[in-house]
Order: sequence, then structure tokens, then C-alpha cells
Amino acid sequence: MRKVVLVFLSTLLVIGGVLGPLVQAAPMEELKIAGQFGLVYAPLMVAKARGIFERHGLKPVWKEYGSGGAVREALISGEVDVGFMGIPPFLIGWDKGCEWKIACGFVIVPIGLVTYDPNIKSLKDFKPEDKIAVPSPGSIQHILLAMAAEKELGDPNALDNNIVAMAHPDGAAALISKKGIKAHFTTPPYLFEELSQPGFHLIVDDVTIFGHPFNFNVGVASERFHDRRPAAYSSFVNAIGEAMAWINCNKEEAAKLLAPEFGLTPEKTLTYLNWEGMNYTSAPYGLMGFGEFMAKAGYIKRAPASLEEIAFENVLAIVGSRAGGPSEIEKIQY
Amino acid sequence: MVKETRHLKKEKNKTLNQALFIVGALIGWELLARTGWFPPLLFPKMSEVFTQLIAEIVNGEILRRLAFSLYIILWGLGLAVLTSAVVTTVAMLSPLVSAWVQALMAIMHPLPGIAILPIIILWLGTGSRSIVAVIWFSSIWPLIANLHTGLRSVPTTQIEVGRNLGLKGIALVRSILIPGAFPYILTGLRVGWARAWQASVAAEMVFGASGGEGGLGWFIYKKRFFMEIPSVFGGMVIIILIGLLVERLCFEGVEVRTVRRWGMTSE
Amino acid sequence: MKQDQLVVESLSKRFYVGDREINALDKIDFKVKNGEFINLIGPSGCGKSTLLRCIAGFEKPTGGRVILNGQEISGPGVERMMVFQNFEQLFPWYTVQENIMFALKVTGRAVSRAERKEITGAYLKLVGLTGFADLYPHQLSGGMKQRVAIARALSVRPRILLMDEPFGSLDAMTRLTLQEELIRIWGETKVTILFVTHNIEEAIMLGDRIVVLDANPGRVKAIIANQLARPRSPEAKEFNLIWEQIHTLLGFKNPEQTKAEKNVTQLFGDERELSLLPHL
Ligand SMILES: Nc1ncnc2c1ncn2[C@@H]1O[C@H](COP(=O)(O)OP(=O)(O)OP(=O)(O)O)[C@@H](O)[C@H]1O
Ligand SMILES: [Mg+2]
Repeated sequence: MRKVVLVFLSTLLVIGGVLGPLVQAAPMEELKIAGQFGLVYAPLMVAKARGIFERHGLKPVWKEYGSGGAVREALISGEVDVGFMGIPPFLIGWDKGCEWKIACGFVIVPIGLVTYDPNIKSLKDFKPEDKIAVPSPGSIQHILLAMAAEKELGDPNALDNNIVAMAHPDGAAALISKKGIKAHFTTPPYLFEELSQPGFHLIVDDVTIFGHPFNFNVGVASERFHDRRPAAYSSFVNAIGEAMAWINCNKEEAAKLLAPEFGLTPEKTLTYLNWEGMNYTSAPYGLMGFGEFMAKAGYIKRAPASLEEIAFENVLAIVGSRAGGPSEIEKIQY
Repeated sequence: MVKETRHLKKEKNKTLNQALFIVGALIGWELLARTGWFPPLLFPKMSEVFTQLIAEIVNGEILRRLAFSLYIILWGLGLAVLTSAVVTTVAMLSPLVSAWVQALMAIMHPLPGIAILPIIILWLGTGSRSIVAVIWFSSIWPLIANLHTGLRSVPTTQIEVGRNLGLKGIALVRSILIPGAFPYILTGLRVGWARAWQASVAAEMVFGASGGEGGLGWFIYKKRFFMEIPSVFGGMVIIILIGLLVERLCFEGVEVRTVRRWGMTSE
Repeated sequence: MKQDQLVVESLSKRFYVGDREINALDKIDFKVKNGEFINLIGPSGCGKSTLLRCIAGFEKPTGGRVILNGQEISGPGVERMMVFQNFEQLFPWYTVQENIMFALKVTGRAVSRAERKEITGAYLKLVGLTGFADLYPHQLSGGMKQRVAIARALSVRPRILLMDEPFGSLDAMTRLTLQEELIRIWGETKVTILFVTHNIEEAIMLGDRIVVLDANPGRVKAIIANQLARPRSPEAKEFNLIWEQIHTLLGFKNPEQTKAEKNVTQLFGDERELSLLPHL
């Protein structure tokens, strides 16, 4: 019964979203957006459900992909105008000559390496046959693992032979059933679910590795889109900001809205939204740190010399450039 | 004899023709890529693909991946050959089992090996074992089907000649049934090999094998995520080359020396 | 007097197809002497092949037995080699020579390769195929294939050669040539031959005795001694007598009429075969 009501309500919302602007007869600009599935993409779901993009004069076309790599390919092939991906996949594309930049930060979430094996307390305890699942090679989890390996084991590639590429849900299922993999480098809600299993524990987390929080995803747009459609570009940035703010100000309502999407109860969704470390923000965090490491470890040919090379002016404006030494916000980019 | 040389000449002409076409297509590709109409990220120059391929060969990675792919295929295919031999033997002995096998074949044959991957992961976990299982599953049905029909197609007369000469059991199977079914066995191996090759690459691309022991599929998968598109094409070139090489050198060689020489083809 | 080599003793064979019972052979009795050439003739479906296959050991009789040199046979054996009508009886993956060498090898008739080669050469010469040793079966004519089959069967030195319409699929000319050669080979090897045929002339041309079988159930209708002097010719007066005798035995009511047909076929130079299908 509840479901029926929900479906009815969301249908109304969709109809409202489509018809509302028609009534206003505002000129709508189509925007194709590539996202993925998961708690991280809650702002996109909220924007969709609440017609936020429409209010900013955009007619969004949503496309969901299975991995950051796929989102990146969609952007390169011109299938979508903007997309969300981790900083490492973004940098790999940038390094290969993709003409794109970061349009906004997108969500900070805790990321962690989880195992069920009580004997594995640090990276040193991994034996050659212990498999570690990451979503894909070159993903943020893979790069974090390499960073940790460099710190703890002295070689960023020390665990390369241990990694297995698995989508988050497959990885979580494999870890929870203790089949095939020993550890899983993952994000919420899988991280929360795994950690709530008895005996499962965190080996290392993102903040320990990186030193401070960083954007799990960034919004990426091609320079072409940014240059040719400036109005659509800023509407997009503003709409994302509005969605973020709405979640932060209306957690309970957001949990109710998102729960059916994830197949969770509103209570559980709320717990997840309020989990320590979750931060729905579009501010830039840690945009430069990955580049330096990835260049040093050989994943890309060179690191961006300045933020200007990888971020659009709205991002640059937020970070600023303090005379006489970096400001706090400049510091957290590294 | 005359007919044979003429046949060979015709074959040679055909090969030459095909080679010319391929070279032409490659040059066309290169020229098209050089026009700059397409982003080089999506459509790299052929020359770049080959330089990258050579680099990957020199640094040893692609050959290591290839060796691993072949190793794992040999396992999967080898197990499939063994299983199909056992299954077919049992099916030959018992009409009931034969009916089961036929039913199973009808159900399973159209199922691409890769489709069972999720289940295999649940049962066997990730890693090479699962890929071997997928290869096994992909190649076993054409092997059984061909072995089954092959053994059935051996003329009773030949079997009776064998029995008349005092052959029984394994000896009869080895010296009459297997050579008699050979055209089918060869077809089975051919299809099985092709399917095994496809399955290994596909399986690794879907769940990415794992770093230390990935084959060519993993190579392509990894290169894709690091956006080394010329290397992705390079991996494909290797896959094509190996496919051609095995077909031309291995299977065609065997076919010419056996089935065709014996006049056991319909050609 | 030669001794009885093969004794077929009240041999019966029934087949069950569904709930139908086919009485293929019903108490067949006859004896064959060492070195004899016996022809078996009878309408289609009278059990000729079944009889031969029982003697060869491919079929288990449902009653009676087959005794070879005082021993009851219980399965296939190399001392009773079968030559089939079917051209597929050669192994296509072996050359002519290898087909024979294979038989020599598996029967242990010759141990060394050189010896096998030598014997093979001798038998190829016997059937007139010297020079064709390296051809594969698919490169041979039907007649050549049957020659190879005969050579292969003889090479393992059977006591009895069982031939089930070996020339049945050949054209008339080849058939005549092969009949003559078979007589020669029989003379040279002194092997006992049981030869099934459909063709009355062939039976008369070849056999020392002709066993005429009856259909439904398969029974021995008569055994005709054929004393015609060799080499035989269809022009001989006695030939016609035996022909008519068999013809009547096979159940053709009006010998004159079929005779007229025969003359017509002769007029056209067609093969002198006569269909034995009763309804014709
Ligand atoms: N394997 C079998 N199963 C059932 N019935 C059989 C089998 N083999 C032969 N028969 C039956 O036995 C009878 C004799 O068959 P057989 O082949 O011996 O005849 P034939 O005299 O050789 O005929 P033809 O001259 O046409 O070759 C036929 O009625 C046939 O249907
Ligand atoms: Mg017959």
C-alpha cells in the first residue's frame, strides 16, 4: 500500500516536474547528466525528485552507469554533457588529453578497506593470495590502496597483484559470504553494511591515507560545454548546490525520499546520511593531492601544475589564492 | 595430384586476397585517423596502436598476459575435453543418459558461458578457478555435441570390420571410433577453442580477474580504465592474431593433413 | 571326401520390433565342406544377411548353433572374415596399404612392419591393385574398394570368407570381372566362401552348391549342387536348366514369361539380373 502511494506520489512529482515548467513556459535547455547508483548520488536523486534542475531552467536527461570508467567514456564520446566521477579517473582522462575540468566538488564520504580476517590488521598482513576487491583499476579506491601501500609498504604497486575488480554490490556480496576475496575497498552504504557484520573490521580509511577529507566524486564538464553553454553550465552548478543544501537542511525528509530508491527503511537511510564522515558538499577538497601521487607512481605522465589546469573558474573562485602563503582552503587541496 | 595443386593455388590466392584486404583496411584506418575528424582518444592512429603494441611486447606485459590466457584456456578446454569424453562414453553406454545429455545440451548450448559468471563467483569465488569454470562451461557443449554425433556417424560396417578383426572395448574405440569421428572431433575442438577464447576474454572483462594472474581480457580491461586506448586496440590485435594463428596453423594444418586428405569432408 | 568345416544346426533367429515378432531364420540346417564355394540366394528379406551375420558372430542366434571345425562359435572371429556390400567398409583414414596393414597388425598376423608390408603387397597383387597402395579409399572406384576389402579380409587368412552381396552395388561389367577374379582368387587361396547374392546368374557362375532360401519364415528351400564345369559360361545348356530350377524354386509361376523378359534384357545388352521381388 505504501509502495502504491509512493509510486503515485512520485508519478505526480514527475508529471509536476515536466508540466510545471511548461505552464511557466520558460525556455528549457536540455542537459544530459551521467551518474552512478549509490548513496553518494543522493543529491542527483533529490534533484530529480524535486525538480531542482527544472527550476534552474534545465531539462535534465539522466543516465546511470556502472562505473566511473563508463561515466568517463560517456563524457568523452559526447553522450552526456556533465558527469560525476572520482578524481583519479578524471585525472587519467585529463592526462590523456580530454579537454575537461572540474565544475564542482561532489560529496565527501568515508571510504575504507574492510576485511573479515582477524589476522589482517594492516596492509603488511596481506599474503600474495589474499584478494582485495576494488571497483576497477584506476578507481579512487585503487589509487588510495596504492597510496597506502606506498606509505606502509614502501611501494605503490606492492598490492597490485592482489587486486580484483568488482562492482560494489558484487564485492560486498563476496566479502560478506567470505568467498574469494579477503578485503573490499568500498564506500557507503556497502561500507556500513560490511562493518555491521560481526568480526568485520576496518584496516585503513581514506582520511588516514590522504591526511584529510577529499571529494569522493567531482562534477566534470567538457570545456566545450562550459564555453559554449555558459548559462546551462552555471545553472547546473547552482542546481547541484541547491540539492546539496536541501539534503543538509532536510535530512529526515531526504531519508524518506531516498529510502525506496535504495530499498532501505527511512530510519536506516537516515542513519547512513548521518554517519560520521558523510558530507553533502559541493566545495572542492583535495583536488590536487591525487595528481602528485599519481604522477609519482606512474599512473599519469604529469601532475597538474596548478588548480587552473583542472578546475573551472567557479571552483577557482571558491579556493581563492591567498597572498603570502596558502589559505586553509588552498591547503586542503593537497 | 593435379587437382590438389590447383586447390592449393586457389587457397593461396584467397589468402593473398585476404591479406591485401586487411592491409588496405589498416591503411584506410590510419588515413582516417590522420584526418583528425575523430578525437584521437576514441580513434587512435593505427601506427600508434602498433608502436604501443611493440612497446607492450618489449616490456613483456602483453606476452605475460597472453601466456596466462593460453594457460588458463588450456586448463578449461582440457577439462572440457576430458569431461565431454567421459559424458559421451557414458551416454553411448546408456540410452537413458544419452537422452539426459541431449536434453541438457538443448538447454545449455544456447546459454553463453559468461551468463553463468555470477553463479560461478558465488560458488567458486573470484580468481582463475572461476574463469576456468566459465571456459569449461562455454566449450563443453560444442565438444559433447560433436563427439556425440561424431561417434554416432561412424558407419556400423567399419565398427563390425573392427570387431571382425578381434577389436573390443578401448582398442575398438581408439582405433576405429575415434578416427572415424575425427571430422566431428576436429569441429568440436575448433568451436570449443573459439568459445573458450571468447569466454576467457569476456570473463576477465566482466569481473576483471585479478592483478597478478589476469590474461588478455584483464589487460584490455585495465588499459581501458587507464584510458590507454592504443593498448586496448593492441590487446585486440593480439587476440585476433592468436585466433588466426591457431586457426590457420593448428586447425587448418590438422584438417588438411587428416580429414581433407582422407576425403572425410563434404567439400 | 572333404570333411565338414562349417555346420549350421537348426539355426533360428527372431527379431522383436515393438510387439511384432520377425521370424528371420527358422531352423536353418546346412553343412559346408572345406574349400567349398557356397551361394546363398533368396528373396529380399528372407534372412540371407542375418544368416551370414549369425555365422560371422555379429548376431546371437535365438536357437540352434553354428559349429566351425567342431567348435561352436560365440562371437566375431578373425577366422570368419566378412566382406560387406557397403563401400564404407574400408577405413577412410588409412590408405589402401594401411587398411590391410592395420588388419595384419591388430590380428597379430605379422609382427614386423616390413613383413606386413610384404604380405600387403602380395594381397594387393592378388586382387590386381599393385600400384594403388598409397591411395585413400575416397580416391578409389567402387570396384576397387571391394577388391581392397577382399584383399584385406583374405590377408588375415580366414578359414571362411563371408561375402554379403559384395558386388551388389557395382555395375554389370565390373561385377562380371570381379566374379571371374573371385573364382581365380578362390582357386589360389583355397578359402571356403559363403557368398550371398540376389542374382541367379551370379549364383550359378560362382557356387559349388546353391542354397535357396524361402522368406517368412526364412528356411532352406533347397540346396542345388552345381556341377557345371569351370570356367563357366551362361551359354552352356546346363546353365539354363539350373537357372530355371532356381527360378521356379524362388516362386515365379511362369518361367516362360520371365524368360521372354530375360531375352529382352539381353537384347538391350543390359545386365542379366533379374529382380526377385515376388510382386514383380
Ligand atoms: N536388426 C534387426 N532388427 C529387426 N529386424 C531385423 C533386423 N535385421 C534384420 N531384420 C529382419 O529380418 C529379416 C531378414 O533380414 P535380412 O537383412 O537378413 O534379409 P536379406 O535376405 O539380407 O534381405 P536383402 O536381400 O534385402 O538384403 C527382415 O524381415 C528384416 O526386417
Ligand atoms: Mg541382405
